[in-house]
Amino acid sequence: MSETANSGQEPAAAPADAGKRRRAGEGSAFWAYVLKRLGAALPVLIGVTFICFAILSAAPGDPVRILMGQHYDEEIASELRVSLGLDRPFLVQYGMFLGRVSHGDLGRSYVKNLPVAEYLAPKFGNTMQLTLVAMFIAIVFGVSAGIISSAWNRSFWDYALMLLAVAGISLPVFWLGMLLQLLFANHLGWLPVSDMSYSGNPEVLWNDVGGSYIAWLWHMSIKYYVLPGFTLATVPMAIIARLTRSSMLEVMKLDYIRQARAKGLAYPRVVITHALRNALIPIITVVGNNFAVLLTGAVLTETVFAWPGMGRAMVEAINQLDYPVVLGGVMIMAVVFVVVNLIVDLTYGLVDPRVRYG
Amino acid sequence: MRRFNLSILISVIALLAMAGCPKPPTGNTGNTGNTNTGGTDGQARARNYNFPLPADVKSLDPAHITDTVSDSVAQRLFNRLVKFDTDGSVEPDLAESYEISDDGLVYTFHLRSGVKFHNGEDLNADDVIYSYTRLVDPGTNSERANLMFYVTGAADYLNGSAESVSGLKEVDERTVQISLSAPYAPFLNVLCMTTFGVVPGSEVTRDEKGFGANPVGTGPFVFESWTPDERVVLKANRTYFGQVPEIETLTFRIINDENTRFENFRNGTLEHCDIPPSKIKTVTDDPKLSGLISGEPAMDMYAYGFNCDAAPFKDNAALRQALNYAVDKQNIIDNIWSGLVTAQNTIVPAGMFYHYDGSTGYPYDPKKAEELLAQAGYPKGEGLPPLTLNIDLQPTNKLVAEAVQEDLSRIGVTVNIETTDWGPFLDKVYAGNSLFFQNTWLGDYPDPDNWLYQLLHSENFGDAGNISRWSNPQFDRLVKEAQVEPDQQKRSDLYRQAEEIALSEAPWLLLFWKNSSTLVQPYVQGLTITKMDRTPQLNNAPIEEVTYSD
Repeated sequence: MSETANSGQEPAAAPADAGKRRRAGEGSAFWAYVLKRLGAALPVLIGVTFICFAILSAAPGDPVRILMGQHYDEEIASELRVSLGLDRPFLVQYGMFLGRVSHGDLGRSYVKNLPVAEYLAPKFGNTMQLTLVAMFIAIVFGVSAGIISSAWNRSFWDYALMLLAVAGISLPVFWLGMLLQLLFANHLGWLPVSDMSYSGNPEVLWNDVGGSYIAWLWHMSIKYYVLPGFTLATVPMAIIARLTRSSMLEVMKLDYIRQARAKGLAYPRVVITHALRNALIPIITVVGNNFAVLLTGAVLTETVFAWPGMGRAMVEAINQLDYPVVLGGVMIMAVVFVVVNLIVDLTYGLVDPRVRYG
Repeated sequence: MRRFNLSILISVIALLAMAGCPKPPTGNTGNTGNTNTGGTDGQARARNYNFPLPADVKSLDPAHITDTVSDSVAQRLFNRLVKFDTDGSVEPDLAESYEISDDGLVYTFHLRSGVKFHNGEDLNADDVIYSYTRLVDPGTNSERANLMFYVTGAADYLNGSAESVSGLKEVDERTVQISLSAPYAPFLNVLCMTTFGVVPGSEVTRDEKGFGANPVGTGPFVFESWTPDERVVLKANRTYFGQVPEIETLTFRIINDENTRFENFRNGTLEHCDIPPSKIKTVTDDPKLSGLISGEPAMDMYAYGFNCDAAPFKDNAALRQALNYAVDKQNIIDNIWSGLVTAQNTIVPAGMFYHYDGSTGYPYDPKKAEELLAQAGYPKGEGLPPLTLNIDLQPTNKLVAEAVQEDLSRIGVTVNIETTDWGPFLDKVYAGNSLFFQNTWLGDYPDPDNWLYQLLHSENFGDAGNISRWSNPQFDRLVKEAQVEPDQQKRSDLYRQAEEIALSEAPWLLLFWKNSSTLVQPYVQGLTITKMDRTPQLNNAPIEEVTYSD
């Protein structure tokens, strides 16, 4: 960000071209590592689905009763149980599930009568969009706040920002969401209360805004991301701010920082180019973890803002005992965690060339 | 190296963001002169009705509709042979007229001519036969197949011992005849249910599984799109045989959270909404909002049931009566529901041809409760084990349970409240494993049979509706007699006798009827909320009659 003003010639912790040399020599080792990690995901998936399947079978409640609603009839219910495969023993059901999954078929939702993949794919996309927005907000504001707090350690700004961060971690998300709705949607009228996009006719809106693409895009879509994005960003933002601060303070004590200052470098440059880069590893870990958690769906934020994402879909599926959707969702979550962890591990090498894969 | 990575990253993110942006409409870009962007001006309003739903639609196939949310959408897409008027009486819909044979066994329907499905095909008698036969086709797996069992031969067709449903007959292209195996007075009411929506055979056979997500009907609105968990969009049917809607687009917005619905309404982005129980005081105290409430006591019961087939409630009407007298319903109505519910003094709700007008039910009378408790063998509650009350997870229901708990503790009865998810709750109650439980019912059709027979007849023990497992031979006989009695006055008399028995035997702890209290924007005209409506679904309110005033 502020790196654009930097000539890039100041030595960082290690020469920048060291990474290039290493990677040229170790390209195959790198890919072998990626493949090995992805391969290790398979037993994880089998384990996760088995546990999930076992819990669902042991849990009280009968999906057919929920499906039938007010006019339950035992005869029709047992027919339905047969057609859904619910009459088979647990292990047979699990075996059938694995068989289907190995052919890329996640099954059909009991409740929605849609293929699970078709139902969950857009949900995952919606959650992904919200997560990207929230993480962008969290990183920009969290890292900035952390840098300011550490650079002006024990100043008024340090205390003020860290107080905000503690508040950010402690505030209940749904309450914050409702407060933001009240203030920005109902009192000020700047932003919509909920939903993901404009529900009216896009052409009417196009005419209403006088054919300006930016204004149309704002009313059509962008403004719907602001409140849920900030609400969802609060907790990771606060965690990132606190971690950046402590990690930076740690690094700022090291000899090479003192040396850089002794050389006469400007303080901002020391902080940004020398200290931040070395403080990044723990921050990346936390960003990665939070990213994965948000990707699995934020139930409260999605509920308050009527966001059609994974969290809401999963809670609804659990309430209605829609086993195929629950299992499909859990599998997607497991894959997300494996992939995000892998990306985090690979990013370490990008930031710190001393990291080796193997 | 570092700069290079960063710029790649930024361009990838920018590209992704741009790819995700909606494209501007390419069609008409001429300015209509309207520069209001709020979307709440008269013109934009006239084109769109934003209708909130508290959960996602499950299926829009009439054969698979079991919940009020899916039903709310399907009501606007399909027609049945007959339908309910806003006052609950049966009136013709797809049928222009109908006759019932003197013995009450044969119903003949004469179809309107010129009715077209949304795909342009004509509706004929064979579509009606197809739609009804399909309900009991084993391949359809309809959750509502049992509603067809009144028709001769329907059960045989379902179990495979018949080639067709013998009670369904196409007399000619415009005439359908339905024969019943036994007279059943409320049959026309049953036919008004969405399950009996007429579907086009050609369309369903093309893709039976996909029909629920892509429905084709004859109703005032045409299906446009369904984005799960987000919205369902319908367009006005310009060739509708009845009143063509003034609304151009009917958008059902799926908003699970009641407070979010409420804030959307206040923000002007919903045309109506329910009142969250936590916001009732805010609404009733606000002069502007309180003026926007529509609705009346609905056929939507909230009561508790006693398990009359297990100790201590088995064969102990005095105990059940004692608990009824001990609960201060008015306190619950005033302090938890701020007057938006109505005390329950009868089993059959108001709003149909029969109602027990003079019934006082069980007024709050702790003295009498104590006497009855002693009479029941538990003076001051001594010897009565603590009762576990099973309810679902709704916060307001918990408040009601706590009020009941406190009232009962005053006469010496200890109650423990157990809240569970809906699924395990149903399991427990249906299987008879709960002694004392929440008992809710939303009327399917305005006929006493839907209450007295469905919920209290011993044929419907447990699963089918009589979750209190109460039985009384005399009551059973009266209710069965009423089912086959064609004369409405005589039916009323039979129901009155039956209801008196049930009231005095007290299989339930009577609480209240929910009101269909709905906030409606002041410019919305002609939205008639009926007694059969639960809000915000408003299943029976004729949306096609809504107009906007400016």
